[in-house]
Amino acid sequence: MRRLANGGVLGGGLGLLAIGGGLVAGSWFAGEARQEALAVGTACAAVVVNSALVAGVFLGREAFVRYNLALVFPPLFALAAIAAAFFVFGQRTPSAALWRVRWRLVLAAIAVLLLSGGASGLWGARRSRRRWRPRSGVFCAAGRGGERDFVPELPRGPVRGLRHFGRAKRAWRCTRSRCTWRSRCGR
Amino acid sequence: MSIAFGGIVALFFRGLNLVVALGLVALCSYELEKGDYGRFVLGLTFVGIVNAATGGLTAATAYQVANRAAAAG
Repeated sequence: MRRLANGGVLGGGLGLLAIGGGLVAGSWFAGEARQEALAVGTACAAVVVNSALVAGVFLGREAFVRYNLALVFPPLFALAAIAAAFFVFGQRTPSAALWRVRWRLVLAAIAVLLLSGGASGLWGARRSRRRWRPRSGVFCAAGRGGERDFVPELPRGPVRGLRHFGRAKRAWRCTRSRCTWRSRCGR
Repeated sequence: MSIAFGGIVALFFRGLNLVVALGLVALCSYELEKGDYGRFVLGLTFVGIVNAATGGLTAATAYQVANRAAAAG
C-alpha cells in the first residue's frame, strides 16, 4: 500500500495536470475543442492513473494476468458505458460518451482491480504466515547450529564484526535451503 | 510461467483489446452522427496520444515495486 501511494504521487500529479490542462484548453480554445476539452482532460487523467498506478503495480508484483486485465478492463467497461449511454439513457452525443466512457467506468475498473489485488495479497500473507508458524522451532534450531559451527572462524574488530553479523544473518536464513554454509559447516 | 505461455497470454489480451477498440469504433460510427463522430474521435485520439506518452510510467512503477524490497534487505 505504501508503494502504491508512492507511485500515486506521480500518477495522481500527472492526472491533476491533465485535468488542469483540460480546464486551460477549455478556456483557450473555441468551438468543438472547447466543448470537449474538460471531458478529454479527465479522460486523460483516468488513463494516466490507470497505466501508471494499477498496471505498473501489478506488473511489478509479477501478477501478469492481473496486469493484462488492468489494460483490458477499462476500455471494455468504457464500451459497456457507451452502449448504456446510447441505448439505455438515449444520450447520443460525444460529450456524454467521453464523460461516461473514460471517467466513471475507468475508476470502477481501478476499484475492482485494487480490491482483487488487495484481497489476493492479504490471502497470500495469511497463507505464508500459516505455513511458517509450525516450523519456526525447527528453523531456529537449524540457525543456531549453523552459527555455532562457523563462529570460531570469524575475524574480530568492530567493522568486521558488522560484516560477521551480516554473514550470520545470511547463514541463519540459508540453513533451511541448500547453501554453501552447510557444506562449510560439515552438516 | 514460461516465456512462450506468457507471450500467448499477452497476445490473447492484446487481441481482446483490439476487439474492444474495434467494437467502440463500430458502435460510435453507427450511432453517432457524422459531425459528432468526428468530435468523439478527436477526443479519443488525444486520449490515445496521452496514453502512449505515459506508457513508460507503467514500466517505471513496476521497476520501483519490483526492486524496492531487494534494495531494503
